[in-house]
Amino acid sequence: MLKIENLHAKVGDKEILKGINLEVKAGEVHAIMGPNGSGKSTLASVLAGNEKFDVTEGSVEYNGENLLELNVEERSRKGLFLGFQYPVEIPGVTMANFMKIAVNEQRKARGEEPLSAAEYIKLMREKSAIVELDSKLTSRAVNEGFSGGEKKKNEIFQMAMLEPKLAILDETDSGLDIDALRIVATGVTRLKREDNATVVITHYQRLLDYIVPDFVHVLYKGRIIYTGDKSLALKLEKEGYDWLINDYKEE
Amino acid sequence: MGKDNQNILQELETSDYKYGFVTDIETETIGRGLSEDVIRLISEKKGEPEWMLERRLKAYRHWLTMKHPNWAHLDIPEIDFQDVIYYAAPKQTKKLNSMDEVDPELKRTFDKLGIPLEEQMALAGVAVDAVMDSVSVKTTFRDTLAEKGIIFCSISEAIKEYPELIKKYLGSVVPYTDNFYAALNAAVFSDGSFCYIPKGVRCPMELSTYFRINAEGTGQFERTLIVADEGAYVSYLEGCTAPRRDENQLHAAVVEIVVEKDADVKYSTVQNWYPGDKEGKGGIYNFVTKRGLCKQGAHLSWTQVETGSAITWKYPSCVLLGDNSSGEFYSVAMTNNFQQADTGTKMIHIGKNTRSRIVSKGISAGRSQNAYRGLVQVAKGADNARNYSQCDSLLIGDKCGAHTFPVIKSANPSAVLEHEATTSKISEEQLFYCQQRGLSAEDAVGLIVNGYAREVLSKLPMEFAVEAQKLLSLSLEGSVG
Amino acid sequence: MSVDRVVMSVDACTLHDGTLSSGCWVVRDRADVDIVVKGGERVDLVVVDMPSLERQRIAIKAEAQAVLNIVQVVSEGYDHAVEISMEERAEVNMTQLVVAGAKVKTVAHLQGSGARFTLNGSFVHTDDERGDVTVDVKHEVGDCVSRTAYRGVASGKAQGRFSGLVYIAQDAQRTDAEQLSRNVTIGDAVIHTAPQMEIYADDVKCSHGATVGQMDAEAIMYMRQRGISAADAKRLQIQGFVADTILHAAIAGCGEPMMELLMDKLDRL
Repeated sequence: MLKIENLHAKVGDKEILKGINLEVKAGEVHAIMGPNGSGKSTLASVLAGNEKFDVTEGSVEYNGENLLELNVEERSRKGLFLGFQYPVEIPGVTMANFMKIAVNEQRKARGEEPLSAAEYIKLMREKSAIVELDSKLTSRAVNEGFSGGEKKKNEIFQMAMLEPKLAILDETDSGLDIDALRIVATGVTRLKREDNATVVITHYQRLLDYIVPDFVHVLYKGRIIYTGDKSLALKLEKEGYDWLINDYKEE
Repeated sequence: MGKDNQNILQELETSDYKYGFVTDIETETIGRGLSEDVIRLISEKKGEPEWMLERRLKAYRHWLTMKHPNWAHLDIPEIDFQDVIYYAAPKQTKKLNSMDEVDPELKRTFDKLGIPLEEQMALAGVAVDAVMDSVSVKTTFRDTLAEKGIIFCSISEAIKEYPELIKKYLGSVVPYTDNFYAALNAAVFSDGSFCYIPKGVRCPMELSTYFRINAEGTGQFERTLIVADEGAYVSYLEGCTAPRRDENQLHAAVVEIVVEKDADVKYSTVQNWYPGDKEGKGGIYNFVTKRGLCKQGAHLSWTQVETGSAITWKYPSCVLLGDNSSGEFYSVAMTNNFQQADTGTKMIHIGKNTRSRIVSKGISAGRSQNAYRGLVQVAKGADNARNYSQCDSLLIGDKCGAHTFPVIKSANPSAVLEHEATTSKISEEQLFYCQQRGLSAEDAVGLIVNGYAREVLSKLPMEFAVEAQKLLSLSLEGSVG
Repeated sequence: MSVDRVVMSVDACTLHDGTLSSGCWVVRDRADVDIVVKGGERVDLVVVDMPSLERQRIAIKAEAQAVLNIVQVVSEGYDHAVEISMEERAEVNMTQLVVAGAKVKTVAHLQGSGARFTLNGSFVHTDDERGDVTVDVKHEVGDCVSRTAYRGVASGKAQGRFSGLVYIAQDAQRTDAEQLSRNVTIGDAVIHTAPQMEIYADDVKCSHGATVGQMDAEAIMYMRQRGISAADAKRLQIQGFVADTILHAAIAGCGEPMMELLMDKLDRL
């Protein structure tokens, strides 16, 4: 589904991604871990198409298409979803209204008719239940006054509403207490299917207790320096990153 | 300018140093009132070429068609324009024999401000011997400028020596049609500074009008023109912290600055209008039109520290005509006793990608009124204009007033403009804290005020900044307790 | 056209219009109204326009400790004037929505200590409308609080103007006043904003701010990632910018009808 080859990206004059290689197939769950500043969020932003970053080298193929040629909304309409690390507030725009527009854009891209008001309300109720999101929050402005946990749940709610093919979750577990973590993780797991894939960017192992990854990659200074399976995550939790980094020599 | 030095020395030698106003020089007042004849006489006395006289007359005729402007927040009594002397001899100040004859109040101010004795004498109008040394300093300074092709002289001289430059630039930023006082000034301006920095030249020292004050004395209708040619840089200082005691009630000056492509001009003003009267009588009316025109990539910054009793009406402005040009305005305006200040700035965004920044700090004490009036205007074609304005007021005591009247006009959807203003007073806690550490109440207030004004003071050239700080503290006298 | 002058003394529980709950009054087709809200009472007041009026003047007195919530919707182009005077510890919360090219002036006099005045307003001008909104808040005595926040959007060839004055009298110590004017223009529209402060007392906390064109770029990115086009995202953001006022309307029940009216107007941006 996703094939990243030798991806280099910079912001301003600073190069952050220095040659990423990664392949994600349908039905898989990949975890990307690494110390702070390694480029995890940058990778997520670059894949989503944030214009703040410049891709200087490399290619990204998404379902047979050149992803880098598409703009942010085009990528989204092709089923790419980014769960933001710091979801912003959009004053005056209700969650309900926002999602309705987004859902209908996705449907339009797929050649489907927009949902009627009744159909939409039904969909919202169904999906907010998956993440135990208080339905009252949908009539509030997007993320306005939401606690950290509510914002993260809101991201997963949106993921449920949009049913993406590839979901990239950027530090979805940061700032969550144990209950919120469980709910978020359960939500993600319930959305998992044979024909979609998830890339979970996380700093801590605990999320991976609930979202069991097929592959765990370690990102360090803009490169993936190690790939393993779920046991790698446990080892990193116990021993930190040093043993890995010391082994790895920068060219 | 070497010629001028000679003239000064001659004049001082021949004039009478007795107490009282006597002079040998062939200059006399032309009675009161204004008419075309008066203007012709002014032009003739100055030995101006025909084209300059024509300009003056044109401006005068236009002035006759205009009406005196009316501003809400100032208490301006009616000015009788026929009751003003429009031309007077260059040297009208009394000549004193020594510092002992100087008004002790004035001397105390000089001392507090840390002004060197020589300068004190020059400013107080003491006899020639002491002035001699300053003359030699000036001479060396002019040589350095001449080497770089920098012109810094009086406007009167420039009209004669550099007519092409004057014809090209004079009135190009503030035309006589601009406003009532601009028209009056264009008709009767007495003198002022002219400064020209050639292409790519960085002026090596701060140019100061101080040197000119000594030479020719201050006029009522001053006209200043500064031109920085492409890629040039100059830092220009106007005024000084010494009190400006002036007989003249009315000042209508015009300052024009032309900042050509990629050039950079910094204009700093430190002015202390000494009222001489704590009851608020005998103030000076100061109407100044100060404006800079920025071409592509040009930058202009206005920095001012003003204290004193003028009814000050000045809005230094930047016309950001060229793409990527930028303007800044930093101001501290301090009023005490019964003073009134109405100051502010205008930033006009016309080109694309222009930027402006305004930081205004008002300090009101006693029974004074301090008003900020600003305009940020973005024309239709001014894509991506950016402005940030911050206007803060500090009130000392509960009988003064601070007012903020910003106006923002935007006709371009991609412009991002922001204005903030806050008002505060010196808190009891702050005062107590300082006093507990041993400062007197007055010193504490002075310290806090300086901290408050720091952002603006830091934009001034070094020596000015030090003087300005002292000036602020001095101006606070009597405001505490 | 004759002027109707009505004096109403409003206490509680008087039903006036079928669609709103009790304790609520609607001013509909009166040109001249004088209202007194009795001390200690809680009243909701809705002011809507009638096309037949040429101008409207409403004077309100909120007696000591009265609580008054006002929603005013300006949808016709005539002159509107509302003048409110507040006594000790009176509280007035006002939401104002202007969707026509009209002159709208609101003046609040805080005359009793402890009074509290809040005004949240939005104006939207499209096509070639000319709007002129003024909000003057006068702190005549000390210890009062005022908060004024106005949002404006102008599109097409419209012109929007906001003037706001916060006046603090000499002995109005311990005043707490804030004023905010935020604006966005689209196309060839022009906005003038002039927030002003006239302060004669020193122990005050007073601030104002005005912005034109400041919108959060991160929010646009967020919406685009959900599949909304850049243009739609920008429009949605501006709609939200204005709608924010309505979402927090002073009278809860008015939220929906105001939102509908606003959305119709925003479609014309």
